[in-house]
Parts: sequence; structure tokens; C-alpha cells
Amino acid sequence: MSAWKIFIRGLWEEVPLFRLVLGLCPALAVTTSLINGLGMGLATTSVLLGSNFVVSLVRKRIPAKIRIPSFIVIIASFVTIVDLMMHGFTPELHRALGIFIPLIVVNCLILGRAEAFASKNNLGRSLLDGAGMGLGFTLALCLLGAVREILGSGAIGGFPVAPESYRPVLLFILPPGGFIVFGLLLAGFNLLDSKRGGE
Amino acid sequence: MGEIVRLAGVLTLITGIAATALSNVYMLARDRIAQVESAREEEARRTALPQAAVFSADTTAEGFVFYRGWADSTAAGEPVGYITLALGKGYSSRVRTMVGVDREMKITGIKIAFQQETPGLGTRIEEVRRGDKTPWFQEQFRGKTREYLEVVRTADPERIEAITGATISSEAVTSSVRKAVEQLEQVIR
Repeated sequence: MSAWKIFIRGLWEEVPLFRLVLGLCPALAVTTSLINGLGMGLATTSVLLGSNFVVSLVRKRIPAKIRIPSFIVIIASFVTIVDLMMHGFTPELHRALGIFIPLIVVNCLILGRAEAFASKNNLGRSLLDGAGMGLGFTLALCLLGAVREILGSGAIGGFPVAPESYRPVLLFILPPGGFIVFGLLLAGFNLLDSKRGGE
Repeated sequence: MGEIVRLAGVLTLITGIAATALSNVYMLARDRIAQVESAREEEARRTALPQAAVFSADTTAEGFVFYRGWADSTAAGEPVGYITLALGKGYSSRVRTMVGVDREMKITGIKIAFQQETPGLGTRIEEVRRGDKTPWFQEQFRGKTREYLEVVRTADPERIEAITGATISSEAVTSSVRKAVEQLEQVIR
């Protein structure tokens, strides 16, 4: 697989949220607005890059039997680093994402990439994979956040875009609305894919 | 047996390295985080009682913590106002609000110090509307005495207008602020 292919596949063919359907819990919980989706996406991307980097580096030294606990320790360390850094340097975002940052540890996407890719590939390829998957995840969260913010608050990125007469449908910023929007986007992706002559 | 020891050894090594790395990062971030937190607290006090330049903490025999605020740094004479932290049970978190009053027990300002309410609904207790500089919900408290701290569903400059879809969060802030002012009144009189 070419380097470009490894990178780009996370952005379309295997975009984590809609194709691999990984990382749903944080995705639905934080995407009440575009900016929250973006912040969560970037935080996850930095953890993913860090964990893919280290997992790929030590992949030959970790006994197969304890690879999962080892990966979890590595991932949890990076999440803690991101949490501390965000607390110190981007306090507002840290406040908005709050309890969801520590939950990146249990984001299946990160463990999934460690297990399925970084533990079998070299450093460069693992970093590309992390970057592609991370960006794909970020874009998907932004899309989900933008749709929910427009429907649920009549705004985007905090700026009102809906006409005065539009009454925001609160449901969309609540969890059930998250599921509904996610389901519709998923259906949309599948439709696009079948039109392009996919499976 | 030998394998178990080996695996345990590898895991111990990994966690040891992780712990070392984390303690180093923590050392790096610690001061910065303390700075952020103290700046936030300072800002909350300043929003709650803008007239004051210096504050001094005090605790009553019952364990009620409050601050006296003075306009100049000598902290002489009568304080210009008082501050305390109000605690209210919201929808999904305990909302902490810094409350300031002047000597007439009129609210000089409030500032939500901590909340984890429903994103997009309850979190709007901190919402700043476009074009504004201050959060509109908290701004409603300024200049009111405790008798007027009552949540209503329609716009009413005399009372506190609830946030649509977040009555519980609005009520949590309002009733906790009312209680805090009551407590301050008892302490100061």
C-alpha cells in the first residue's frame, strides 16, 4: 500500500466514524456544536499519533499475550498528557470538553489502530495511518457537530445562521438527536458509496 | 511460571516508564495549571465584586466561608462588599457560583465557577450572546436583592428569565444564589 493510500483511506474509504463505525461514544456525546467536535477530534488525533508512534516503535518487544494491557497503558499516558496540556494551555476548550477528555482512553478507534495497524507496521506508515484516521475522525465529528448545531441551536461555530423565525429543535443537541443525525449521515455515506459502485 | 514472571516484568517496565514520563509532564504543566486556576478564581471574584481590589477570606464558626472586599489595597475601614461561593444542585452537576453583594445586600455580580450541565442546554447559563461581552443569564442578577431572585419563563427585567429547555439549571443557580445572599446577610448583620 502506498504512503498516500494509507493516509487518504482514513479520510474517505475507512473514515472511522462512518465506515469503521469506531469511536461512537465520544462522537455522540460531544458533538453538540462544531467547535466541540473540532476540539475533541484534534485531541483524539494527537493521542492517536502518539500511541501509533510508540506502539509501532516497541511492537517487536512487546510479548503478544500482554499487548492489549500494554497498549492501554500507552494510550492512557498520552491521554493524560493531552489532558494536562489542554488544562494548562487551552483552558476554555478543556472546560468545554471536560469529562470527555479522560474518556479518549476507551475510544475504540485508538486501540483499534494500535492493534490492527501500528503493531504490524513501521514507524512512518503508522504515523501516516494515525494522521489519516485522526483527521477523518475530526472531519466526521465536525460534520456531525455542524449539523446538530444548525438544527439544534440555529447557529454554526456560535454564529447564528438561521432566520429569526426558525425555532431551534432542542432534540438535536440532546443525545437522541445525536443518534438520529448520526444514523442519517451513515445512511448518506452508504448511499454515496453504492452510487460510486462500491460493495 | 517463568513466563508469568517475564510478562509481569515487561508490564511493570512499561508502567514504570509511563509513570516516569507522566510525572515529568505533570511537573511541566503544574505551574501553568495552577496559574490558570488562580486566574480563573481571581476573575470570578472580580466579576462578582468589581468595586473591590483586595479580598480577605473569613470563616464563621459554622464553617461558612466568605470574603470581604475592599476598594483600596490598605483594606481599611468598612468593606465595599462581600463574596461567597453558592452551591446548587443542577441537572447533571453541582453548580458552583461566585456571588458578590454590596453593603445594601444588592448583588454586584455573579460568576459561574464550575458546572457540567447538559451541553447546549444547561451550559447556556454561561452563554455569551453574539455582540455581548458578558453572559446574559448571569448579568440578570446584577443590582437585584434576594426577594427578586425568582425564575420566570418570560422576559422580566425585575426577575430572572429562565433558559429555554434548561429550567433546572436556571433554578439551580438562582436558588443557590438566593441562599448564599441569605447566609451573607446573617453573617454580616
